[in-house]
Amino acid sequence: VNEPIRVAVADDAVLLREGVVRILADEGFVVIGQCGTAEALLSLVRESPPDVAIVDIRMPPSFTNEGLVAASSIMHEFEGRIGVLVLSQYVETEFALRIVTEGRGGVGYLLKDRVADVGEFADSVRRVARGGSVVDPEVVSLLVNRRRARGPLDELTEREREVLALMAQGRSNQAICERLFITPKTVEAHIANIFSKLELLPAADDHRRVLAVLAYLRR
Amino acid sequence: MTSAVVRDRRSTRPFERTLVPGVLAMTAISSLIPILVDGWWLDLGLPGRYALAVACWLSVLAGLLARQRRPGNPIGIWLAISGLLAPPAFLVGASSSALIVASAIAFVGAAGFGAMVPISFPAGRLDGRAPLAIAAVAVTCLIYRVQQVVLFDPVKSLAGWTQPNPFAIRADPSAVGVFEAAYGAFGIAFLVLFAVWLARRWARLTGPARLSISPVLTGALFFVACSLMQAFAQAAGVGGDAMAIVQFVHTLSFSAVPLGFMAGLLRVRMARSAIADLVVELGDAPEPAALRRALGTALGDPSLEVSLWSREQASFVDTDGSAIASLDAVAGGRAVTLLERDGEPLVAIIHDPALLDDPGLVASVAATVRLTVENDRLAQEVRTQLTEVRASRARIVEATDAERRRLERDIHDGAQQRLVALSYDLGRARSRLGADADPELTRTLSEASEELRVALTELRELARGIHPAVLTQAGLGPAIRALAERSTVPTELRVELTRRLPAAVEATAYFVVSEALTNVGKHGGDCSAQITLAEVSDCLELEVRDDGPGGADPSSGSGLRGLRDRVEAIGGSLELDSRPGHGTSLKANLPIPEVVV
Repeated sequence: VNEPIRVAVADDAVLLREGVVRILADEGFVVIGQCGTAEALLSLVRESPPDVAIVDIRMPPSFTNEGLVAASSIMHEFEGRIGVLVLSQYVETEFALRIVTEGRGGVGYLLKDRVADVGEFADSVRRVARGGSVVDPEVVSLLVNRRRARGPLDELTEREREVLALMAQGRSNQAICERLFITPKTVEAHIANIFSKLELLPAADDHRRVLAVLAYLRR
Repeated sequence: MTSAVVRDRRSTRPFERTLVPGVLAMTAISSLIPILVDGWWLDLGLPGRYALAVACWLSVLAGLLARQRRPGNPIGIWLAISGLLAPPAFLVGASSSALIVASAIAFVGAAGFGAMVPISFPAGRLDGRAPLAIAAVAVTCLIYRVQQVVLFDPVKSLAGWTQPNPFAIRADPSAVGVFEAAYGAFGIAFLVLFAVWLARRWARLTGPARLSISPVLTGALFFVACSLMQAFAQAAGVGGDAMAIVQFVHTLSFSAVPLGFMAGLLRVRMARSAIADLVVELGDAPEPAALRRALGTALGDPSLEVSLWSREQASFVDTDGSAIASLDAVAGGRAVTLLERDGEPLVAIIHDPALLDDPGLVASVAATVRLTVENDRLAQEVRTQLTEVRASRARIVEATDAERRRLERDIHDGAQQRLVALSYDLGRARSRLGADADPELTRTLSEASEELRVALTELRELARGIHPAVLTQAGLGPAIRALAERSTVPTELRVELTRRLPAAVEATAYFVVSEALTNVGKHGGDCSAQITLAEVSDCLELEVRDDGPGGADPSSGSGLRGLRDRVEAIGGSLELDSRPGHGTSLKANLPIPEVVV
């Protein structure tokens, strides 16, 4: 709130990149630069490190996972001082898990469509800037709603499942309270129940919590 | 160079089957004359008369055989005529003048036609000096007969001559002596020349021709030798039992040529079956070198060469496969026999020209060689076509995959991007609406956003169905995991893959699993699926198994057919096991080609 968040944007699709840049500007972010390749992003980030790098997953030259590789380089090179938010036109749990697992500090994986929900997107960028984890709701929904043989997940109540999904998206307890209109104490109770029913050890921080929950869901 | 083109037909002239009974009846009558009729035979004893009957039969039978084997060759007719005329030729002592004249004509005919056989054998053509030689035989016999008829005195002459001779000009024993001496000298000279000619021909025989020609020449030589013996005996005035034996042996030698002819037939038949055996032994894909050796051995011609026709080079090729510019140059004076099929050359056999003297042998070899070579060529053609079809099928699948990737990329870079950009604009517009904005406008924008979100989701699913980007981006494992996550039944995964595989293998495996899971989903109910994927010795083995009701019909629906086509296009196999009550298992085995770097 005090200092404006600095953002770099990389996407080879100019139309989308400029759309993202405009929205970020609208929402009070400072876009320090934009580019169309992973290489350009790396030099941009090295020149003037932003708080968050927003990267398209599929960029030239091979149009496969250049964005992922760039994100990984940034996370390692800056040891988590720069948050990385990866955007994709498809939802893949594979990529979401890779990014979150590798993440140090702020990481995020969002469907490009999410940018259109301006308020929610700005919130996601801020969470990544603060070192939080952001996982696209559709990834979580795929994992939670996946058909599986009967198991501990079936023991959860409806409300507990909602809390689980929000945890997996990387939401903090406070955010869960606001979403579900419940008190922090109730949220804590739900979380304790979930962890005990799934036989998971309580996580040390939000990021580890996301990891633990995602790993469980993906089993 | 002699050359012959052998086609499928052996001869256009049919065998005169209808004449056979008539010829046999005539033979019976002719051969019975010397046995049944007594007293007309000059110095021919009973054993000689039997030998005459036997020679008559053997000649006619050999003639019929020759005619049947080679209807276009006149040798058979000549043999039969000489056989039929042999008994009447000896009716020297007949009581009627007409019979005596007939016997003289028969004698000239029997000797003339008989001489034509060895002279023209085996082709049946009278080339060069052959007609001269036959004329010499006929004239000699005529002189001999004329002197017998016009000079013999019935009273003074040989035993059995009981009737007065109506043709006798002058029954003068001294005149008989002059004529006998002249005849003896001319006859002996001629017989010696004939013997020399036969012996030289015999010595020059090479290779395959030996088989059929040499027995005939040997028979002729024996006959000539016996005739010489008789002529000398007569000139030396040998008489009594000794002369009777000479006469008998001479009569026996009439059978030598027909017997030789039949022996030749037998030897050729045996040789032919040897060729057939050898070619059969070669199997249905004869190597030119092996074919050459087998034919050379069977035909007794070590110099024999075989050239196969190459369609690609439009030329005959040698055993190394290089083109032969000119067969004539290779043949160098030897004969070339071309085998054709539908007017197209098949094989050229370069061989001893003597082989051509027996067209039957050539035809027999041709038939066997044509069969084996043609077989080989057809098999080769089928193999080539199969390879081509397989390659083109693989190319079609590859092209389809490439097209699907292109289509997905077009959607990703085109419509999808534009719609996402549009959603950004709508999002910005909505975020700029203040709390006091027109509620109608707020609602409209909100509805538009929602519509757009649904459209984007549908478009994304469409693109994923065309080609899943994750397959290209992350490989088969993650792509199959994505399928399992979206499956409508609980799906367990066992993926043991350590590396990326060639695109065609990954895409095929993906579509097999996708189709199988779709089918599992159709069962509904409480069933679950298990996907196993592993790389086992250069093969990707995958199985999708469910515990559903089973009983899927492998022949119904185009889904499985299409899958099988896809799998087989890259050289793999697909196996469906779906017994009722035992669930369904779909197994695919996909070979992983070596990646050429």
